[in-house]
Amino acid sequence: MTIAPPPVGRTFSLFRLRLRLGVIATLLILLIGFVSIVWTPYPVDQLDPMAQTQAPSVAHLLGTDALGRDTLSMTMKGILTSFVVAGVAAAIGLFIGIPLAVAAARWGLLAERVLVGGAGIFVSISALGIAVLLTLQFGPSALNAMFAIGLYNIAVVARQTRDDLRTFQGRDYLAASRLAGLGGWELARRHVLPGLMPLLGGTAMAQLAQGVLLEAGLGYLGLASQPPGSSLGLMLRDAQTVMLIEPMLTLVPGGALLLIVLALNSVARGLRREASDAA
Amino acid sequence: MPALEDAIAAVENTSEATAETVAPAPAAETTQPEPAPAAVPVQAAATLAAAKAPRRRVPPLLAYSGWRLLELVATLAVATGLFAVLLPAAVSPDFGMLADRLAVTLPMIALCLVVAGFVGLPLGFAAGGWSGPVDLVVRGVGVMLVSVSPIWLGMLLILLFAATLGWLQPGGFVPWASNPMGALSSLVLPALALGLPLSGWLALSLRDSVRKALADPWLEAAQTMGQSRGVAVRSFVPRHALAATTRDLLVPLALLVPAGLVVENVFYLPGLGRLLLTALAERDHATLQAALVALVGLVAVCRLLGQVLRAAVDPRVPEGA
Repeated sequence: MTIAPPPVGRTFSLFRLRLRLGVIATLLILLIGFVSIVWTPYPVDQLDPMAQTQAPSVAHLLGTDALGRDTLSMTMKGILTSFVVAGVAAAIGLFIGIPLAVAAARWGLLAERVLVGGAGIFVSISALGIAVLLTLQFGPSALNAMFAIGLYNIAVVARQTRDDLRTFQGRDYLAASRLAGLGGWELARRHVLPGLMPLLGGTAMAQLAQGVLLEAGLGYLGLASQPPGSSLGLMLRDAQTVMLIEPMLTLVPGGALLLIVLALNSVARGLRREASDAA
Repeated sequence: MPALEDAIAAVENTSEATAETVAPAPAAETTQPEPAPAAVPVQAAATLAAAKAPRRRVPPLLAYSGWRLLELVATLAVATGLFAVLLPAAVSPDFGMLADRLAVTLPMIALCLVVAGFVGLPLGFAAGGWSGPVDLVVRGVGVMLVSVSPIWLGMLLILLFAATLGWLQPGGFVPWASNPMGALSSLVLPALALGLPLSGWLALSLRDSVRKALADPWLEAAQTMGQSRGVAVRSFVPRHALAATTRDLLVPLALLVPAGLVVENVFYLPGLGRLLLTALAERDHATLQAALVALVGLVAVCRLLGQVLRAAVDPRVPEGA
């Protein structure tokens, strides 16, 4: 009697392609951001009154803004700001949110209730509310945006991880390994974490994408990076005053924002899909 | 689900002659069970029915909504306390300005929910039902919509509908009292800028949920009971898909209000967002406190809306599963 072996490896499919494209695009954009640390075509803190609102040219590939700053240089710096702020915020969310969710799952129902209730309060105050409070105390800065988005992320990540953990409860192989004498952290490490990893990766990428959008929103309101620094939200804010005359100035930062978030969301969706296929 | 009950009834009718005695008066059977030998299957069916629908004084959905409302009040109380501690000078919140501002923000959020529903639901069901090009296009558009910044989308909408086509004004607000239609039309573009990203979330999630529901063994079970596939799909898929989708929408719904306050500024709307920012700039702690409480309240209401919607679609939620 022959039994057909289970298919080894995965057949080529569109979402794998999307996941790969997303990873490549993310790395390329990240590279642009890192290049801006050592080199930009023009310094971003230098105003050039002779070169105000120029159309794209050989000298200024993406043109200049109303103050004569090179749009390409500003965008490169802005991309870096987006990644740094969203990255630190996502790290805060993951490093505090995941242990909280795991601890709550181990301590039982009351701890879970407290976790869900606390997360609800933070989600309701939202990154905007936290940013307003921080700005009131310390003045606007990129650091504020990091902490505001990070605190908000803790709530979202904890909630999401707790929901993901719940899908593992009641699995037969967990009961089996418990019968085999495995317990506590060893059980979590050997049998829950491997399945949880892709889900957590998806959560991390989704928080990164959301963080980039939130940073742009806070930057646009003037609650994040301040002028000598550059951020895509600030660029949108500056561009809006001359939007009807110079639409190009809104297209560049907005388009960059779209590309970053699109790449990150593709990775997030791909990872989540991978996890749900494996389950 | 009436279709399922019809199917079960049809099966019972063909297999058991006694089923006819169950159908007309099940309540009478539960109150006075008679141990006649012929009535054993009847009695079993009656106990089964009684076990299925235990009597409750409060409907589970109402109880669930009550608990969530209590949670909302608790959230507001904690947030108010937090703000009172964190905002320097001890002042009581000044709610005087709030009514005017909410008259802008609330209709904008409501309109945005309408936009999201009208765009996202058809797109999601279409992509879930038809694979191939429709699915591909909806997924592409959906991912673009969830990735676009509402601020930038707002600017693009202004450039298209106000600057190029001249259909709507690029920003500003006409008070409701002087010109209701004008007020509504100045909220259309902001609602689109907010609602289209939300409709992207809705469409993507619904597409996946519809796919999952279509692959569910329940459909085959219903067909083996003699239902046509069309009837089975129509009675089963939308509800199951929506049950899974309403869960995915809780986070985007919570982000709606903060995003709305930002988008207000793109369109120069005198809403809650403007109030918050001017109060922050002027260090007007009383107004700031009130605006923050309103922000928390609005987000909490949006979350409540999502939770109750979810519980209404998915009966497992209020049952505490």
